[in-house]
Amino acid sequence: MAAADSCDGISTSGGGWEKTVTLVSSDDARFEVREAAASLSQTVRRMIRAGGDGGIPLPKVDARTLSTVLEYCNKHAAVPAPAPESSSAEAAAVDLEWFDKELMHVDLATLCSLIRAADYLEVAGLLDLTCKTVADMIKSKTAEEIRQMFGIQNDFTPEEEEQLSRENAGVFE
Amino acid sequence: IPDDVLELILLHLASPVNLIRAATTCKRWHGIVAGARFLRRFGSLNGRHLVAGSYHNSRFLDSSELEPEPEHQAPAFVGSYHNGRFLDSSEPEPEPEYAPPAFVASSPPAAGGVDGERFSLDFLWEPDEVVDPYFWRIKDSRGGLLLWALEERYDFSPTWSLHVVVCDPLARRYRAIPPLVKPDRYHIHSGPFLLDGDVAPCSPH
Repeated sequence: MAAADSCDGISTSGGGWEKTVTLVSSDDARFEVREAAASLSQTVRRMIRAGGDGGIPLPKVDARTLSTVLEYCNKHAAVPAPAPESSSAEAAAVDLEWFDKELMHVDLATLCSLIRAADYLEVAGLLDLTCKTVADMIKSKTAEEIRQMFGIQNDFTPEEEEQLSRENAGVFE
Repeated sequence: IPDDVLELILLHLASPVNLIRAATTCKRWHGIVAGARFLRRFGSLNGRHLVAGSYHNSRFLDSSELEPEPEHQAPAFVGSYHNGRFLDSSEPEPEPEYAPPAFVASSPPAAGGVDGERFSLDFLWEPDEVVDPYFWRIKDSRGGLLLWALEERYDFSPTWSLHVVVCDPLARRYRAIPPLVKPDRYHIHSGPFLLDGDVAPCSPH
């Protein structure tokens, strides 16, 4: 089976044997991760299926970003799927929500790296979480505040800007 | 951030007011937001199409009816057009005050709503009276256009005519459609309406 070939090692965790894979960041840092967690990334899952040895190279993600992505994956893969109405399911959901919130307490540059990584690695949950976080930061801001936040150059000509403000009067104050 | 990721972020903005602000930051963001694909996705993600407002067809209204219906309080809804109406007067005087057709924003500008002045219809009766606000009615709206109509019957003449004007309130432009004239004094019809595409408004028989 191809999936078995790509496993760099087998480690014990929680008393049972779990398959792990090794991910290699753009700056050559190696991360040994449970396969269940790494598989939250559709990109990694495909690479595991395709096989190969010496770890899975992820040339578009640096070590710092990858460690945050894996923190997310480890946490979310660890949550079992209990009966939906049990109190433990509720507690797990609250815990996960709190974890997500804490994970998003980073600056905008880090968030953007995370969005890029989540997009490249295809971690749907993390992509949604990070996009929503940035959208929430944009929501209450004026166009000028948004430009400052993202370092955007206003490339509208004064005429175009005047037309925009005429079309959108009432939205700018 | 690549365009497709930026698109994902902007899709999470939920309210069209936030969306418009984001679209005015630079040409690239504007291009993404103005794209048909984005607007379609934004509409389906937020459960409805982007609706700037609708029109209300009622002549006598008390103030409670000015509240938008709950289904209209979705984030994409910013207000509605009302036909001209007589305001409920608490005075015993027989002449209630007349309010011309107008746009009523769902929330005041201070609360993040739009400025209703922006949607004003007064260009239809000032300086030229293209539409008499007392007698003309808003009959339909589609794609940012409003359809106005006035049925006319003369007491001693067996003709019936339908006058129609289409206007674009945001661009403050209008176009009068040649009136439909029938030789019968009473004419059964279902009224004029607007169609999508290049089809001119028409009155079915």
